[in-house]
Order: sequence, then C-alpha cells, then structure tokens
Amino acid sequence: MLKLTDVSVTFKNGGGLSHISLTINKGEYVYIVGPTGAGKTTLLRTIYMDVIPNSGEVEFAGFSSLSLKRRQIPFVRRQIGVVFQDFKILGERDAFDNIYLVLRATGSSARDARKKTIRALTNVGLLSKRDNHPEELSGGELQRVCIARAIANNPLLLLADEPTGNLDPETGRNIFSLFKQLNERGITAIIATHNYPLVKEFPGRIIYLENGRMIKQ
Amino acid sequence: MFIITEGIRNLIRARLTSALVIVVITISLIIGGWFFIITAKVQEATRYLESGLEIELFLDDSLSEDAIKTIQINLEQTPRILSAAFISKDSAAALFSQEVGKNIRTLFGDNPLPASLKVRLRAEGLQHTTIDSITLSLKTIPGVTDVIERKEYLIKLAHYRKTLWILHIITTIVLFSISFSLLINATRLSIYSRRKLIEILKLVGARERFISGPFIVEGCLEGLIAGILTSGITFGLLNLISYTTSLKIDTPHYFYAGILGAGCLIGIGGSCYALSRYLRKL
Repeated sequence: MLKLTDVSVTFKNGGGLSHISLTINKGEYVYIVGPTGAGKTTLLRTIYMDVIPNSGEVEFAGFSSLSLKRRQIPFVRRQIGVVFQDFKILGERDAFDNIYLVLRATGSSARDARKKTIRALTNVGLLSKRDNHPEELSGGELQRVCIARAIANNPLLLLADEPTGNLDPETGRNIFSLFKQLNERGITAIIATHNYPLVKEFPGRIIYLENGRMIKQ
Repeated sequence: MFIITEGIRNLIRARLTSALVIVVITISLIIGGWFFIITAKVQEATRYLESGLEIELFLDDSLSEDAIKTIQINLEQTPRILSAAFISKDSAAALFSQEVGKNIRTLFGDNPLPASLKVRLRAEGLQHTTIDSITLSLKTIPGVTDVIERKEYLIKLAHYRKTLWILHIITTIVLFSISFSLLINATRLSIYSRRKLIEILKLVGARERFISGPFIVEGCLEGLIAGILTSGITFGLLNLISYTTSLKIDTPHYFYAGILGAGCLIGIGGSCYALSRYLRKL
C-alpha cells in the first residue's frame, strides 16, 4: 500500500531523512517514534507529498514520487487523512463547517459532504457539538474535529503528527483509543509520536527514527 | 456555485480590506474615465476646428468670370477640398469695411483688394504635410497670384492633440499600475489573513482552482462594485454639469460598459497575480 525505497530528504538548514526504506500494508497500525528532530514530521510530509525526496522513491495508491506531477499532488492527498499537532482548525467556522468545507474542496457534492460530515462527527463522538466554534471546544474536542476531518473522506491512510502533543494525558489516551478503534474498523494508521506510555498501552508496529535514520522496526 | 458563494462570503467577511480595494479601483476608474471623456472631447473639438481650415487663393484681376468659375469647379472636384467659395473684389472691400470700419476706396482712392477663392479642406487625414502639398499645387494654377494658409495653427492643434493622447495613455498606464499594485497588496493582505485556510485546503488535496476560485470571484465583485460606483458618480456629475452650465457632455455608448469591464478586469487580474505568486511559494 505504501512503499518507501531508500528515501533521502535534505534540507538547506540540515536535518531531513537518510536512506529510509519501509513498506506499510493495508490495515496496519504503525507508530513512528523518536526524539524531537528525529525526522518524524518529515517522514509524514514525504508520505503526503508535501516534501519530495531528493533521492529514493515513495509509492502510494498507484502514484510514485519519481513521476508525480504537481497537478497530481491533490489527488494523492485525497487518499490520505492528516491529523496535525496544531489541529489546523478554522476559527471562524463551526465544527461541522470545518469538515464540510474540506469535503466540498475535494470534490464531494453538497449532499454527499453533509452526509459524510455527520458520519465523521458521529464516529468521533462529537455530533452534539457540530455547531460549536473552535473557541467553544476543548483541546481534545478540537483534536477529534481534526480526526473527523481526516477520516471524513474515507482515506486509504490516516497520518497523525504528534496528535497528543497539545493534550493532557487523559485526553491523549482517549485520542489514541479513538485511533485504535478506527484502525480496527479497517483504516491504516501511521502515528508520529514520542508519547511512549501511550504507545505501550495501545500496541502497534513501531518504527524508530533518530537523526533522520531508521534505527529499528 | 460553491466557489461563488465562498467568494461572496469572503467579501463580506473581509469588509475592511474589500472596501479599501473598492475605493482604490473606484478612484482609478473615475480619474481614468474622466481623462477619457476630456481627451475625447478635445479630439472632437480639434477635428471640428481642423474641418474649418481654410486656404485663400488670390486671383489675378485680369481673370474673366468664366475662368474663375472654371477654377472654382475644378477645385470643388478635388477630393481633399470640401468647398471653394468665390469672393469678388467688391465683397472683399465690403468685408474690409466691416472689419476695419473704414471704406477702402476712401483710404486708397481705389480698391486694391484682389478677388479670391476661399478653399475649405476636408478634415479626414489632414496633416500639415498634406497642406503643404495642397498649397504647392494650388500655387501652380494659372491666374492664382498668391496662396495663404494658416498651417502653424494646424500644427499647434495637431501637436496639442498628440500630446494629449500621449498624456492620456501615460495617465491610464500609471493609474492602472497604481490601482493594480494596491489591489495586489490588498489581495495579499486578504490571502495572509486566510493563509491557514489556504494551507489546510492545500494539505487536504484541494486543487488550486478551488483554492483560488473564491479569491477571483471576490476580486471580480470588488471590481464590479467599483465600476458601478464609478458609473453612478460619472453619470451624476455629467448631469450636474449639464444642469448647472447648460454644457452637454455626451459619453459614447460603450463608456459605462467599458468602465464595468475595466473594473472587473483589474479585480480579476490583481487577484490572479497575487494568488499565483502566493500559491507558487506554498
């Protein structure tokens, strides 16, 4: 489903990735762990083609980073749901609208987008807060909106970048529990985190990164 | 439809920036529009004056009436000449008396003024070089003793008209550039205030067309509103002028359509330019 072959990414100010090769199969639940600056976010950005590798190849859903054209990038991203550490929720729109807008922007009809939004909010247990604006939601609820937005379009792959970074331990546990539930429903998930206690509590395949290199799996 | 709705919502949400953009485009369109009206009116006036350009042919006293008639007919058949009016020696003396207030015969004991033909030229394609060639050919007509034309006056007019056109083009370019750059900056502000939305849309897989669509709709609406405002203000001012001064200034039929079109073009162009630069950086 996802294959990285000898992927290296070099940034001008240093950092990046060095010779990463890995394969992730459909339905897997994967953690990418490592200290800050290990390259976790870069690896995720490489998967959703926000960063194009300097060498090596990323293959996903029939697309290859070697032959990918700029205009094809949106179609790759539509197969991936991304959960960001800083939520990236629009302040002037309510929970429903934050998800609905993304679905409309990625080609869903108004009716379809409405249905999918309600289903996604139900899946994360936030349907009752559909009309709430971000300032009326807690950190955990905001992250749930973000997860709902990521899964609303039935992606092949769910990526989460430090999803508990801004949350208290209990809310973080609930979010990990939600990821596990989503994975049990068939969603392939890759979660970048350094929250080791939660990784132990909700086991999955672990990929260790350090200084841009894959240390072990 | 969704893009249009989003564009309208954006316009309402960013009221202050939108108002600024509308004011900038309106001012530019008003100045540009009025300059166009003034230039068109001056063009019209100079053409009118040019059409009245006359060349005077003084005739030999020995010419018979028939010979003069033949010259007159030949001149009137020349394409460049609109008319050729005969002024007899007596008519010239009467004109002199009218203008000077004294009888020429009393002053000189006789009438020294020659008979003449006042030739009026056609305005189309008239330039001072053409007048030179016409004058030269008129001088060669047998019985014509002298030819007087007021070329300097035409050269001045032509120069004035040309300068005005150049000024008009320069003003239009400068105004549109100012308006365009202000619009680009205002759009940048608008983009900056919605950078999070653009970032999210890009990350979730929205196509550039979808991201830029609402901004373009917004720019177009701003330009259209500015065009409507400009048309209203210009129409009102023209009516006020004609009401208070009895000076009637007509505008061409395409004037208001042109103003609306120019407004929309500036709006769309500015938004597209600012967006393409921003999206390329992302």
